[in-house]
Amino acid sequence: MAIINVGVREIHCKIVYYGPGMCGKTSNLQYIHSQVPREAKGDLLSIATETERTLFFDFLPLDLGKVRGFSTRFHLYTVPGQILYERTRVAVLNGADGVVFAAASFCDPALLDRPMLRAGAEAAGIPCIAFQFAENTGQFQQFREQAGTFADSIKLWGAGQ
Amino acid sequence: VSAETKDRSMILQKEMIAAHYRRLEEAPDSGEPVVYTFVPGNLTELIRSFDALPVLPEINALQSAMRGKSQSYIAAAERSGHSEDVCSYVKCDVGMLRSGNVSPTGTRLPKPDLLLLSYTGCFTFMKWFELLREEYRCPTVFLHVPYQADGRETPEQRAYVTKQIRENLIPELERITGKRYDEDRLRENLARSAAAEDDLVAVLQSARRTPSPIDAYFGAVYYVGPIFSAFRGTEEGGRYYAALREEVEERASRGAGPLTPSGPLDSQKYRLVVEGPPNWTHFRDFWRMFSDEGAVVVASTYTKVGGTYDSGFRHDPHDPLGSLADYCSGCYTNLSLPSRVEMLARYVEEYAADGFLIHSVKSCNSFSAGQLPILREVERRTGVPGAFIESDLVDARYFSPANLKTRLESYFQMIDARRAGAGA
Repeated sequence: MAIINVGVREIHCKIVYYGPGMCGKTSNLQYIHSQVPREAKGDLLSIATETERTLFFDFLPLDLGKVRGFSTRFHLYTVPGQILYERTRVAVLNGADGVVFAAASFCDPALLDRPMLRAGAEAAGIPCIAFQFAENTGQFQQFREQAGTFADSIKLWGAGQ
Repeated sequence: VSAETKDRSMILQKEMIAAHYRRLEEAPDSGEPVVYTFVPGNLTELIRSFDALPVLPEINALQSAMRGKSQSYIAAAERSGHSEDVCSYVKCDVGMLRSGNVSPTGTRLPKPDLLLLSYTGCFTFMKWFELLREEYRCPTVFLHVPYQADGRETPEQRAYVTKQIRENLIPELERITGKRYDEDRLRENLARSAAAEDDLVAVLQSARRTPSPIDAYFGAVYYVGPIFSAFRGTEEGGRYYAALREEVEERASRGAGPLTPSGPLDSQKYRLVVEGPPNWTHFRDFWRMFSDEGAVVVASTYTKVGGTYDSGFRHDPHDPLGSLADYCSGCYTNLSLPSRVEMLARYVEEYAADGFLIHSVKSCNSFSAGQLPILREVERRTGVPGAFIESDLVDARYFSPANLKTRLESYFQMIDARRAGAGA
């Protein structure tokens, strides 16, 4: 659940990128960090190993405007994808408001989990959506529309309804 | 296809497959245990020595595709949440399961008593069986078979796989079937396998002749069918290979070519080596794109995914578990890229090929990873022109007839131009 601090009128949301090693979770955060105006973002904190793979998590705070007078602060995290870091993943996932499951399109072992993940999310009343794009996808308008529709459906019917 | 355009061996094989599916349908009543396993590294002789019946999920998928059933199965799997991008064999199998688990020949498939993975070069296989285990809640044995990174199996790797067969698999087979491991029966099965493997190699190597009496890709996927699936080490398997060899030797003695969708291919303009699995949804249309142009395939790597017998490997009744370990390790897609290049270059030379073609399938990373460097290296070593075409195993959406035909036609023209240049 998002944390709402009424005193300072802030809503904190935690989004966690989850998925197998080398699927681009850290790259995704780095890209978002590079695109967001300086005043809206904090420093991108990465705890990486010597091989530059994520060891614990990446963390990116974002301020994305106001909702009914409350500032929204998004905390974007990644988890290490390597099998070894099971407990770290569970710890980072704890208290997440949203999860982005990322997998490369050639990575069958990860993608084949999709029906199970979706069924699990549906059983728990968590809305979910899938986006599919390739390296050479030039036009992203359809993804904006998909995301907008998804957001509208949550606003209209709410999660778990 | 009318009976006149089919070889006797094809008809025999069709009967064997139909009988096997009927027996599988009766398994819940007859009490015969059922082991699901995959073609690469399959331990059929051992499974059969416990009187258990093998089911090969990827064979079900390709057979479903050849009968035009794969697209609705894939759609069913995608409706259940599977991505468009994952292996179409898996989706075809999952969709078949969701649609009542009816086999390609229309019989019902039994549930597995054991899921046995004896090849770990394909992570998708591992995940596939995880999905089936979730569905059936049945025992699973996953062997770890090391990749042949250095191009050969080390004594340690051999001992490692043998140990897993002896200590993990055999006790589980004993528990599931209620039978004791009988090494004499296994030896008998392995002896029958070795004899059939001799026959198969003679058939495949008949393509060294000109004209070739076989098509070593489209035709040979039928030839390897029984030995790659449920029939290796069985008496009917032995009979099939003896009959097949006789049929091919008879054709060779007449100087005749193989039967193809364009009729008997006696006049052969292009001799090709092909790498990669075929497409199954348009199998005969695809074959016709070659046979209409007078192209015959003289050697292929796909026909080695269930064993590299022409490189000398034989199942050995004198060393039963050791030779099964060698078999698991030596499957084509468990070999390193340099070993694959070596094999392809050898084929181009031994079979006097005019060209070398890669058919890359979207589904199979085990095959596709590294195919472009393979193409360049084989071209460099042999000097014959290579070409690259793409489609998929059992998902018809990725089979584009017009593109493939154009690509192949220009490739054949290129071979013509090379010949004209060489003759000038």
